[in-house]
Amino acid sequence: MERFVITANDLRNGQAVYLTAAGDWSCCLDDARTFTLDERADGLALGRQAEDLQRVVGAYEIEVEEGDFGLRPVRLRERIRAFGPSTHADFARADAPGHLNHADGVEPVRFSER
Amino acid sequence: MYRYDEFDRALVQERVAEFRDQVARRLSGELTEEQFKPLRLMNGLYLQLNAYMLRVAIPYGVLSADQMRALARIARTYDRGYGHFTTRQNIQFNWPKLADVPDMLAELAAVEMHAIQTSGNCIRNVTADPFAGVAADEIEDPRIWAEIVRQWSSLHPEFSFLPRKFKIAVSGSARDRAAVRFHDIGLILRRNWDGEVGFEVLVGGGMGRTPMIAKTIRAFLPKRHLLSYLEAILRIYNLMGRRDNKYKARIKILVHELGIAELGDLVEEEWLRIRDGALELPDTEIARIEAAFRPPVYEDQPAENLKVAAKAFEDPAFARWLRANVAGHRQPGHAIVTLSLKPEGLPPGDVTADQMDAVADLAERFSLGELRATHEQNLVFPHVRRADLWALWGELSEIGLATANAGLLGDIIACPGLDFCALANARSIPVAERISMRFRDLVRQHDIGELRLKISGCINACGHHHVGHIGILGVDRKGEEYYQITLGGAPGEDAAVGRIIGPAVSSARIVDAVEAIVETYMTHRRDGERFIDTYRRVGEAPFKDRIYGGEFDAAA
Repeated sequence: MERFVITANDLRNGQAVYLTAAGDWSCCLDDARTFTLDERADGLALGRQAEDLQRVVGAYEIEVEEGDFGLRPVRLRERIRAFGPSTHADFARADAPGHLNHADGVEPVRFSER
Repeated sequence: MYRYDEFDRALVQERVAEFRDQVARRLSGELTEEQFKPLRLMNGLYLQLNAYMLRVAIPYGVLSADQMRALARIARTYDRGYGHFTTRQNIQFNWPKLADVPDMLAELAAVEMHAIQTSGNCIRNVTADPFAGVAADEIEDPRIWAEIVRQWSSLHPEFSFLPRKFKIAVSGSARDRAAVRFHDIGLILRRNWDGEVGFEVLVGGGMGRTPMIAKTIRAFLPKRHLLSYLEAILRIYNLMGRRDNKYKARIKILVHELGIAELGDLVEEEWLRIRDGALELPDTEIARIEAAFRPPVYEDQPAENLKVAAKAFEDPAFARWLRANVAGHRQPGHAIVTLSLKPEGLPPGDVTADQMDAVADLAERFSLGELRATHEQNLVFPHVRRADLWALWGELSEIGLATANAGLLGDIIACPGLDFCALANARSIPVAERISMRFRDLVRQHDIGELRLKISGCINACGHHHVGHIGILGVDRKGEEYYQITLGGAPGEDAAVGRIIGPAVSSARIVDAVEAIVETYMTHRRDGERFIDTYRRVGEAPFKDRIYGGEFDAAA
């Protein structure tokens, strides 16, 4: 069954955030409330409300699946938003190791190791 | 260097105060995103995938050591300790918080920098040859004219809402190091038959989804008429450029649809009307700007330094760096040094705050306190004594900025791509990292020779893939990253748009494909031929056969 979560960017720092069951916004995808195909319009309406309250910017829905480390967006673009850029190991989220390994096994160099 | 006068200073400081108020109103909820977005974009503030992004202009690429230190401080205080040099002589900060941006702009203003006109449908940061004022092959210093254009175009009321963004580049040399033929307007300083120096004016170049090489609209323009002529071009474009379709709104489309001759006639007509008016530059004003770019007083130095030659003989790594990263200077005994921001396996154009501080110190010790940012995402020390090259190489090696790959395969241009950019379809930086790891052996890179590889993560072509000898364009195939390969592009005086050689290659195969292309070149090249020369001689067939002829599985 397809599952969706509502995402947006936090007004204050621009970071990717996810609508939680409590109606808050969390930067951790695992905190997100999931919606079924039928429910997702309701989720989007909640996102729009938060936009109107000037808490988040640009709310929209994304499809997610259950991955090895919890929820995982289906699209690469959303995986990068959720877990961080793959260019610097330092920027990737520590709780989602190996989520963006380079295709030929070359790990990005840690900036702190330069 | 040009220093702000009271007008520049007041203008920038007023803008900081204005934006501080706008940010406060946004954070309090008084302004909606719809209302705030055009205001933030006028100050170079984007909202990207992971965070806000602040794009700061480095006019025509010139930076002082103090400005570099300010960028380091900003990176450390408000960002994650690094900055990213772009393909337009800008620097981007990828992680600012909205509330901090006014303070960042205030710190920039304190060192005569800003983020005005780094976004929006206006005249963007004016770019120039990074070797301006010091290149051995230069006719005149293009920075004088780049600065004059900067002042004219800053907050120009008539050109604040053009049909689309507008980019101007200036070169003082026939050797094009600024990709002037891929700008909306390219200006090249030329000497006419009488020995007078003026501009060849080119118009309608650009990359994006419709790459075009600029066409000459006027073969020779006397310098004092520069602004009236630019104003005439911009005015015709502002009136006739398409506003109904974003993808057809750049001046290149107008040039294409009208033809250069007809556009030239319209511009000429408008120009004759305004030519001898307020925009004619008085000699005193030209002299005032010229004074800011007067060459420094160089110490007398022997043209060649025997110690440097001896060190190069002893140390092949130093010799490689001299060959790739050190260029001829107009002043005997001096050199122009490129600091490669392309160390193996790391993102092109990224510099840490610590590196920035170290570079500022080195610029003071070795380059009269001045440096440049290049559109190829490197830095340049313009005033280095040849006698100091050995010492400078040692210092740069310590901070990881002495990779001897300028102009070689490792010197990859890459846009931020899907890791950062809201427009991208595929990642670019990781592909650059992987290619640079594959070709990390500098002996091999030097053997391969000059090779311009450029990567964009979408068709907007910020990574200049159209003009790469090898160009790579990221595309999204049903959620998978694929990469389209073009060959034969060239950014300089031999400008060419690369041709797509076949279906896109999978992410897993793209590095192998680059290697197969390089091997094909090595097989076919004749003595002294660069990659681009061989490609032009043999055509795309051998490269195509290698990638798509059967043995190499491009889709695997």
